[in-house]
Amino acid sequence: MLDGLQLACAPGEVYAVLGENGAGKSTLLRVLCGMLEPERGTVLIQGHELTGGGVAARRHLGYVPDGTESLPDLSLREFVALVRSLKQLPVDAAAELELASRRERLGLEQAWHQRLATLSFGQRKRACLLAALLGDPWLLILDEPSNGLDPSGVAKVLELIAERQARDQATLLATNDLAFTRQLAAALGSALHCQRLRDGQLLLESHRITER
Amino acid sequence: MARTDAVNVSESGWTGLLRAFWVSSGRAAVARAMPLYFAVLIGASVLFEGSGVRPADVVQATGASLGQRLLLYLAWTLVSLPALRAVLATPSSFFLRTLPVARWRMWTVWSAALLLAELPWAYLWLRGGGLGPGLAAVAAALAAGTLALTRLEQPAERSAALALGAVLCAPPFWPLLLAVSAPAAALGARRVWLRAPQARGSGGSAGIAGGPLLALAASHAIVLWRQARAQLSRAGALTLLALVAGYFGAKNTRPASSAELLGLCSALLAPALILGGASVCGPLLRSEAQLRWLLAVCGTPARARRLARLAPLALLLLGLALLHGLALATLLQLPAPLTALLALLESLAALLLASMLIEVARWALRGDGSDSGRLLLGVGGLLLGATLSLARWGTAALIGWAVLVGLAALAHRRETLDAAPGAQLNL
Repeated sequence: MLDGLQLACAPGEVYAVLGENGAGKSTLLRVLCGMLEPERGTVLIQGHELTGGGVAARRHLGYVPDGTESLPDLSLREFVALVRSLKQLPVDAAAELELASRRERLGLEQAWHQRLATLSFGQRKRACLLAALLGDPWLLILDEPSNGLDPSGVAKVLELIAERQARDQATLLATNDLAFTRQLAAALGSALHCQRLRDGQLLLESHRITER
Repeated sequence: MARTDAVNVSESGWTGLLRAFWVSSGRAAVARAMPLYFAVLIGASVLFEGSGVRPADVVQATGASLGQRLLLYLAWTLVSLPALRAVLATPSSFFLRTLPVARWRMWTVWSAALLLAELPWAYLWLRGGGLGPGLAAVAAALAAGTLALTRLEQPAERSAALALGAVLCAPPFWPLLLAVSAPAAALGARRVWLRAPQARGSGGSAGIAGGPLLALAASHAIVLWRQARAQLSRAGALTLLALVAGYFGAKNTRPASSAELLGLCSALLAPALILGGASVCGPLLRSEAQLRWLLAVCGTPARARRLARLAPLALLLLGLALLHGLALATLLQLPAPLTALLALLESLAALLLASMLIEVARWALRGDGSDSGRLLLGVGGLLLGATLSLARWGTAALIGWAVLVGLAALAHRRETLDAAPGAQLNL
């Protein structure tokens, strides 16, 4: 049970929630992205309430789950089209260009017409990242972003987070991968805030990351 | 030494191979084939016992009429397709390919299973046409089924299908049919078997566009098409059986009025739509469950989700009902106004049944969906209620169905976003 948590993510900030397996990191992220309804309290994104099915708040949100097994039997192209429609994003030349550029950067050119079920775990993770970045959301929530990715994939995730930070967009992630967190700290410096989730409470963690 | 022993044991073990085949492909084939073959048996007993038709009459009729010949081949291909697919492409049987068993032994077992799947068809043609035409018909049905399973992806498969089609359309000449069908069946079966473990890489470019409702419905339809072909072909085969039953039912009972005829046709169609639709509901609801996280994150309204999950099922049943109504009216040579009324009433029944079915399936598959008793109870109840109401009140029963669907829609509370047990938080 998580209780009495307070978390505020300002523009250009990156929050890393650390914790052991079962600490409740993924549960916390599911609440923050609107998958789970909290019994008490609220989640606000850009001033819009997320709890209770708020749609406006969800327009500013992108979420990449940890497990990628729960994906439909669609091709990557179809999956992206579905997410676009569900988010009601405009499909114009600029959006197409942006999508093509991200697809190339994430190394998903070859996988574009392939079904998600036939992709490797890492490719599916990248596919989810591509879908989450549609519409350039203000808040990006990543659950175990380094999980299943090869070194080049991890480097691309770090690059994307750094770019978002430079554009004053917020990123919130949960991980138990300390090596990844250190790489993130090296790339972002003071923009990274680390908190450890233990016994349902968030504890400041930043100094411990840089010491190790 | 140990390796040699293993090879000897496996290669000489017909019993082991048969048992392994049975637990992997065999059981799956029987499970998929039985409901359809049982329905064929009922239809055949009505046809041959009730109407006094002999297998030789059927064979003769298909020889005389190209339309009847193609319809019969199409119907049987649809009926036998799930069994053929299970024999050749059940994933749990893929491990057998890794065993040190000679390929010819494997093919002997697989071929025997394929022939078993064609047994009802073989019985009809051997009894009705003799050995030569019987063998040719079995080979042609096998070729049609296995080539359909290859999806005609390669030029050789397309050529074989073209040749088979040409011979079937030409005046019947069994040596030619056998000469074309036997290699086509071997080609089709081999290609399906070899290709089965390959993941279907290409997803195509089916259009997912528009608003959330349209896109979500299209996504469900695509997933259904890719994951539930066996269930879809079963629904088609059941509708064909309902067509046959409707035709002979109307011919034999000679309804006194139009209302009686409409009631009879609808009462015979309803079980086919319910059983066919029920088998599609599982994959449809699984498709929605896979997307639940995405729908929650995107805030897709409950109403859009509800309509999107209903749309593919409603369209499927509507299409089947329209086909049934129009084909039956053509066969019975009904006048145009009665044809339109039959198609309209059966379409309405299909839409109402789709609404009721999806609610029943959601209730039955609640939780992990492992409680098959609920599904049996729900579908059985709907089957009984729908058929009895149609038999008792004719098409006026549709008014009662519409009231029920309306009440269910009213009773729908706003669906809460995915709240898993024990996951409520105090922030």
